[in-house]
Amino acid sequence: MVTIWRGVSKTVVMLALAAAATAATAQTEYKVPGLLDFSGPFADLGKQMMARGAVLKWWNDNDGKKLGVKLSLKEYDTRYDGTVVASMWPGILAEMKPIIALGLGGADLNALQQRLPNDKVPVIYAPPGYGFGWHPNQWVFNARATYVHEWTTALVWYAAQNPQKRPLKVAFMSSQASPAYVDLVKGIDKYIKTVLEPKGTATVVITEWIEAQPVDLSSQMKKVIDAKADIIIGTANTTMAAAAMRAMQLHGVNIPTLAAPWHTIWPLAQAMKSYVPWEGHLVVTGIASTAEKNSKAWEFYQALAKGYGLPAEWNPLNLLGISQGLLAVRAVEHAAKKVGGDKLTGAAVYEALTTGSFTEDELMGILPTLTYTKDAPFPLKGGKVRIEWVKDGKYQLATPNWLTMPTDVTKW
Amino acid sequence: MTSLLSQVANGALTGLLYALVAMSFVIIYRSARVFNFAQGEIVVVGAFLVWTLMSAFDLPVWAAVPLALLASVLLGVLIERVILRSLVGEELFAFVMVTIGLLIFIRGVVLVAWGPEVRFFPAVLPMAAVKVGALVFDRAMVIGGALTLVVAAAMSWFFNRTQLGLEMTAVAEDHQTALSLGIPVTRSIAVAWGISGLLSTVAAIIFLNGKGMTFLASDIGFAALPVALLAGLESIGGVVLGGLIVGIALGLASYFLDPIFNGGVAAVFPFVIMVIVLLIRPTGLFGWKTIERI
Repeated sequence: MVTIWRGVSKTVVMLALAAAATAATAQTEYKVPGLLDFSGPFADLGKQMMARGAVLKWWNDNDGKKLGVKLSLKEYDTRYDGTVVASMWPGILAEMKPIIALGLGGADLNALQQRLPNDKVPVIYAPPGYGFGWHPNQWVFNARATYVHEWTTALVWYAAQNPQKRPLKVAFMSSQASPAYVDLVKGIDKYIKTVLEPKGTATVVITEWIEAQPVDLSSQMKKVIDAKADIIIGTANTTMAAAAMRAMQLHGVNIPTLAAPWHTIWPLAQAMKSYVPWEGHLVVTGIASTAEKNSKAWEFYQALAKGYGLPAEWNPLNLLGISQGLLAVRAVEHAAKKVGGDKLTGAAVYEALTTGSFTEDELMGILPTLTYTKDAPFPLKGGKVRIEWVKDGKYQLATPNWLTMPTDVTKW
Repeated sequence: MTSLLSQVANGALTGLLYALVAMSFVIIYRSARVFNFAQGEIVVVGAFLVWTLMSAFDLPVWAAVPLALLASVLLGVLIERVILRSLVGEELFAFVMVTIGLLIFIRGVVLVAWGPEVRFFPAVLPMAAVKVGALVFDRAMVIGGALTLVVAAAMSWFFNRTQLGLEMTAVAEDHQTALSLGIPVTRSIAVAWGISGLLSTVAAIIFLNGKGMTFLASDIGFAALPVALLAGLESIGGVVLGGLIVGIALGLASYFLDPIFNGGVAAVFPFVIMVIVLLIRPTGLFGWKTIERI
């Protein structure tokens, strides 16, 4: 009888130990909805942005395991259509009960921004923010400041390189087909007119509104040439950029364009298999540069490539997804450290995002240090950018170090 | 002044490209009484066929372009045979829904087959600019403009002077009457879809020559819509004039009105003209007037 009891008690103890060990390693699972575009205007972006899933998996295997948290990403195709997002979102809330979500851009931002404070779900965005989203106490968070902050930094830098020591002549060439395109023109125009023009740094010489999928821009380019523009800003999709480039070739000129890395040089050079037509053109990025490969960011990317199925070579689009994933996991991490991995809520993650900083080291060198306040859905101070350009036929960093963004950009 | 002339002349060339796309609408409508909402998607398929043959299979232009044109004709015939033939005699609404469904279906197929990435459309036509004094033109657009005029003349001759063309015109009048006269209605409709496929690929080559492209190039289908409606959905020659009106109006609006209203007018101006014309002449400038006798 005693032997039986001993056997039973041994088994119970062993089972209890095993249960305790399982509990220690068990991760509380939280579902994370991802809004992507697989069949709309940013379908090319959607495929690459899925790199954010690799970051969540990497985090689950490392910091998440220590904190007892597992984030499971489920991607939804929104076709970059605000009405699709608006109709899909209540179902996502009911099904997933998310504590954080990953967005794509202006379409879902417009659809969700008003309701997120009630839903208590912070949504993280990878691209720069927009002026129309610049409101206090928002539950959307851009991993970087607005396009206007980033592009004006580049403009000031470019003006300083101007050997003629006269105001830089800026031409806008963009489309009114998207509120986002209009927003960036409006914001930069205001900054130039109120800040740069009085200083004699830059002036706007012409604004040409074109179609988002233009057939021919030779007439519009003629006006830009006649206005003696030094730089063109606003070609914010690849079709506009390609049509502008073709129009410049027809007129036998090369006026540098300034855009984000995914708008112009990189995607079109991939298609054209040459960087040569883009000689002297610039892109500005608030995340790590793909032109730099001896960095912490590159090492981190290699870890993701080897362990989590990303391609060996990084690009500006999958870096966007990675930056978004990193900010999301670090926000969850900060919240879990405060409230515990099994007690996470959207409100806790929101609190973590709005109080405290995310260091460049935590963000694996992909993003500079980010500090949010409740004044805006993006970091208003301390933001940094790098500028890349094509020089001697090669895509390279124009500014090896981060450039600090201006703090005198006001709402437009 | 040069700027204004440039806007007008380039607008006219753009209008002629729209006319070429609109001709595909008209040819199908004339024979099948179907307004093909998927026309822009067929242009994109034609573009990707050329791209695949030249860039992926490395075929020379003299082989790739005829093969792509042939494939486009077959695509048109296939769409008619598989999807639309079974609808002959059905309500007009059924055709509308089917071509909208076709638009979504083709877009899906394009995304699956070729993906959403930017592709560089090969330079099938010469890339050097055409310079007339201070005016600069895209050579592909100039060639395209001339080609549109030739194609419109050829199509007018075909529909008015050849047996098959006249049969197709009779089919356009009324399917039942054509059948009673022994005209093979389904063959006529298949030929129309084949020609439409062919013209779509020609339009794609002119539109995208030496430029970046994505599946969103299909927007040209909707850009050509006011041209087809303005001209009247049955008139081949009318689309040329309609194209010129829309293109030049677009250029003038861009020059005169956009600076006043801070942009945005040029994009809607062709539609404004279209609505005004349709209010006065509901059948368009050159559309057939149907007289019903009781």
